[in-house]
Amino acid sequence: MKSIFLKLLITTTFCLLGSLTWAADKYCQKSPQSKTYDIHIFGYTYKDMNAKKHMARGLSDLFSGIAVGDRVKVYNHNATGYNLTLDQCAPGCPETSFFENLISTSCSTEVAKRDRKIFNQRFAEAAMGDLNRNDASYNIFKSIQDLNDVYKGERTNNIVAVAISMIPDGINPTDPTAFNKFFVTNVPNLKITLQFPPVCTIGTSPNSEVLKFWREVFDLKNVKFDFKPCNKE
Amino acid sequence: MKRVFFSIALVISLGTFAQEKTNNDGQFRELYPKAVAGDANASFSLGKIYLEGTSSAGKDTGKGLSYIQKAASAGNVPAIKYLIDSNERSGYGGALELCQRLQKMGDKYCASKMDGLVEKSIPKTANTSSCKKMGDLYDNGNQGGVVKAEVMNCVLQGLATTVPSEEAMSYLRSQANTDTKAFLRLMSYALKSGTPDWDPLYVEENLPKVGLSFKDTQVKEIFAKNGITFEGCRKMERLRKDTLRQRPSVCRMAAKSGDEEAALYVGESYLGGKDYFPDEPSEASVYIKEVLSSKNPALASDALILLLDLYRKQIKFHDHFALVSKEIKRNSPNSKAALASFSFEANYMQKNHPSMALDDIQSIVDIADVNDVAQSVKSLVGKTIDEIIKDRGRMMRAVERDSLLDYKKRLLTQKDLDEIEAVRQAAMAKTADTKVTAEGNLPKKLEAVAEKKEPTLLERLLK
Repeated sequence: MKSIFLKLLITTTFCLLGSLTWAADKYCQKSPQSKTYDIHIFGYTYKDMNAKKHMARGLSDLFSGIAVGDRVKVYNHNATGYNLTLDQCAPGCPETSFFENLISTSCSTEVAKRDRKIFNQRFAEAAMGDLNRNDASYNIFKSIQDLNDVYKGERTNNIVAVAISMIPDGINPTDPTAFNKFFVTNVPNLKITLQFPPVCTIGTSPNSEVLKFWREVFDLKNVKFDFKPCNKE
Repeated sequence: MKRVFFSIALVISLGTFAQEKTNNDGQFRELYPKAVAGDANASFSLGKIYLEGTSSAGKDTGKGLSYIQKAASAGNVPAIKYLIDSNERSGYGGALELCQRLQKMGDKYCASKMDGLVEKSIPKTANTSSCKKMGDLYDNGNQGGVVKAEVMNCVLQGLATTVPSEEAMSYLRSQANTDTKAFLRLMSYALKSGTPDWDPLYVEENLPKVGLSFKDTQVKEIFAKNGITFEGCRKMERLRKDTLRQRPSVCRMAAKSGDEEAALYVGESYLGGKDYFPDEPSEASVYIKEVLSSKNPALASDALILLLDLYRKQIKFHDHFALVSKEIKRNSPNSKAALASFSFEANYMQKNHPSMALDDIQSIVDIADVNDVAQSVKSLVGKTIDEIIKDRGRMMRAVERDSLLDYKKRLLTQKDLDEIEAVRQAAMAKTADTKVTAEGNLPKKLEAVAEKKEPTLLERLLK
């Protein structure tokens, strides 16, 4: 009796997983117009509420630009590494003519709407879940290195969006002397090898001192990282 | 209260100082990327910040010097100057090369330092590499005293051809008149026998003039290398006429440098005027005296005998007696030789006692009483005491006279006393005969006078 129940449970689990996978992939489109978004969230680098809001707005803008069928991968980074918390194509039925719609039965608008809602919720959870945890200290150079390590110098055609404050831990971004000190005590000993794909940023501090600091560091390390905000694409 | 204020003020000022000490962070940040990119000025400035510890990076001498060296390598003049000063202070030898670089760049920063730096960089013994370095310096216009002297030295040693060897020797001779180091260098050539520059007389004559002593370690080292020893002197043919002046010079220098065998030989040669040494007893005594205190007893004994002999010949009583009494009193191994020579004092006293000081007489008598003195000498001294008392007895204090008379008894044997008595009797008889002829009954009076004892000190005082 027990073994029959166990077999039933395993079968049910596999069926459910299969339907989920199908649900995740069923909206993917293989057309050249569809895009893949790699969204990297470094939530722990935001300690200021305004910065968090700024980042949320940026993500929201990015999200609004995601079209039906685009694949979205959310990498949630933490102090020890990262989790791929979402990997799904944006639900929705492709735009068709009235007659095509009558003939085709593969996409139900109602179902797609429901799936989109679930997708939106999942995205919000994946992107913003860790944002309110701001107790741990961090090393901003390690964050950058972690981002680099996801690609390990490989080329990608994905749109890589990075939500990161770029502010070193404990530094007031408006205080140039703090940056000076941080530079003096960290940069000469910095051993970092970076080779990024083209990256756009979300919620990065717009402060000129922050930008100046990173420009100097990336110049020193011969890294191309131009702080292009994702919403200005 | 005042103290509290003072403490607060001190804390504030120290705090300000600490802030000032680390306020170069901005400059550091500005300089660092430039320095990494190879900007020499930035490298130098960054190096100084590290060395002085004026940024939040703290003091890091290793990094500081590394950046300054990078700047210097790239030709940054302030960095080169900084390293020159730093190397000079620490005694590190890299300053000279840096100065040469500066000179090539047309900078005269090192003009006054060059000689000092060259002096420090010269190895104890010149070699091909050091001579090449000196030659380069010389050719580049560094013809200051030290460089020039070193170049000439290299040429004379055959390690360089920067100038002709005649010019080098001429320069060295001119320098050697006033410069000790140059003289020491010249010595190596002037003492090398078989070369055209061989001139031991020049060395002997001029060495003291430049403030050197024959016993200086450096001098002795050069002497040893060039055979200025007794062995070297011995090997030279004694009677060879073409070295009749040089050979004595070699022997003399060996003697003056402390070679005791050489000193004894030179002294002896001066005594008799042999082996082309002039007969100069006074010179002889100078050399022989050097060996008197030798740790080698045989040499010391030979020296004593020679010197005593010399003083005897020169009738230098005081010198002879000082030497004899010193050896006898300290009972040295040479005391026997001294005692044997004591007859000179005894004879001298016999002949010259009227002109001698009583102290000297008493000292001679003291020594004559020593057991090992030959009886013949004792007798001679004892008999002389009688004459001394006769000669100056009335001028002597009774104590002195009694002391001499006491010694007389100790020194003379019964035989001596009998002889004296016989002589006295003979003399008296002769005198009595003369008086009888002249005055008749006088002999009896004379006997009475002769038998009359000398008055005691108390009797004389009563008179």
